[in-house]
Amino acid sequence: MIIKWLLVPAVILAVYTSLRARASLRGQARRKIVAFLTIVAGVIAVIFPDSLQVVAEWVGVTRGADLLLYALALVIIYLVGSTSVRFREQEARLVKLAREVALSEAEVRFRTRSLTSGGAPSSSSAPSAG
Amino acid sequence: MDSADGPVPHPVDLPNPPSDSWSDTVVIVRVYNEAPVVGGVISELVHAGLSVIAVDDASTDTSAEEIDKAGAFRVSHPVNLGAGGALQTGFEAALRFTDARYIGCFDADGQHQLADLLGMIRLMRQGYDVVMGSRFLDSKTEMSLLRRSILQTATKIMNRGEGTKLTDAHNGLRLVARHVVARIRLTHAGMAYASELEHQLTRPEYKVIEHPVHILYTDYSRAKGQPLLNSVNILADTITHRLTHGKRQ
Repeated sequence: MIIKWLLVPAVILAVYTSLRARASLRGQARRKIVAFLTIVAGVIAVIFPDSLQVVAEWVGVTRGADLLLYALALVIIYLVGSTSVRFREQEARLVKLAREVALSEAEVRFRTRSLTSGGAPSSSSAPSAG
Repeated sequence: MDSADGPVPHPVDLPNPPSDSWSDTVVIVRVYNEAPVVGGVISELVHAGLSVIAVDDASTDTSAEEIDKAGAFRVSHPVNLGAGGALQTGFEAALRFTDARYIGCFDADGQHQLADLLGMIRLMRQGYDVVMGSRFLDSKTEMSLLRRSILQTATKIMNRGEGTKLTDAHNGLRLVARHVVARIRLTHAGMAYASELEHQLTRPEYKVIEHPVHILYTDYSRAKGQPLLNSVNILADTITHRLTHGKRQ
């Protein structure tokens, strides 16, 4: 059964690559290639419905629809992983941005206040150059 | 120009100058919808002569006004970031706006005692890098048996393989030296920050000591915190943290 030798590494690869999906140029290019191949495979499968069956029998799966199901499962695993990584990266960015906004806003209040009240009282709380 | 505001109490926008006796310390209070109590908590700190930075984590009630009235320096998040995110903001504000040697964390809901914090500052001055509050060093804090055992289990899991043995790994009352704070990077914005912070505070090269503190579980904090369920969260977070991060590097 060739399918076993294909599916096990594919699952591992899907989890691994999705979890370290970065917005790198290589990653983007790889995703575009995968998208292009998906379109080609889809078109072929639609035009020649028997081709899926042929491939399925060749790798040791009874029906072409089952092969499609396996492929779908892999895609979902990859999507869940890469989406969660993306989501976390996005969240980390949001946290940084919000923190910077909060600190700059506080700093502006801090500085205008020290101007209008004639300078901050000399104490350990005086600003040490932001 | 502020007097033109009329009856509106103008915000105090400078970190309140600390009195000489506590000028080496700045206290971070993170605030999320604590309007009924935060004013009192901050006033007490300010009146004791401590410099206070309050991080308002995008509260939807009147917490921000209460902070300004009480006289703390306020840093307001534009969106809610969670406990860890607010604490990190407080640390960065303390580094940026003050030159305090010690940076303390104090809860806004009134469960921490000023006297404990002052005791920790005195202890800190003897040359420690981190002073952690602990509820379990003496039996002053009254809590249910279940809550106690959950927190102690979490502490035991935390401690495994770590340099410093702590008796209470999830206490919000801490005092940290400036050079330690400068190295803190909290990536968990939510409640899971506690394990991460403990991890970064107890590096082998730091001198860490615990100080007994008395936590007051008031009706207010009980109603707000859902204490028991929260302990379950803490336990789960700690285990997850252990699983994903493994042993200390």
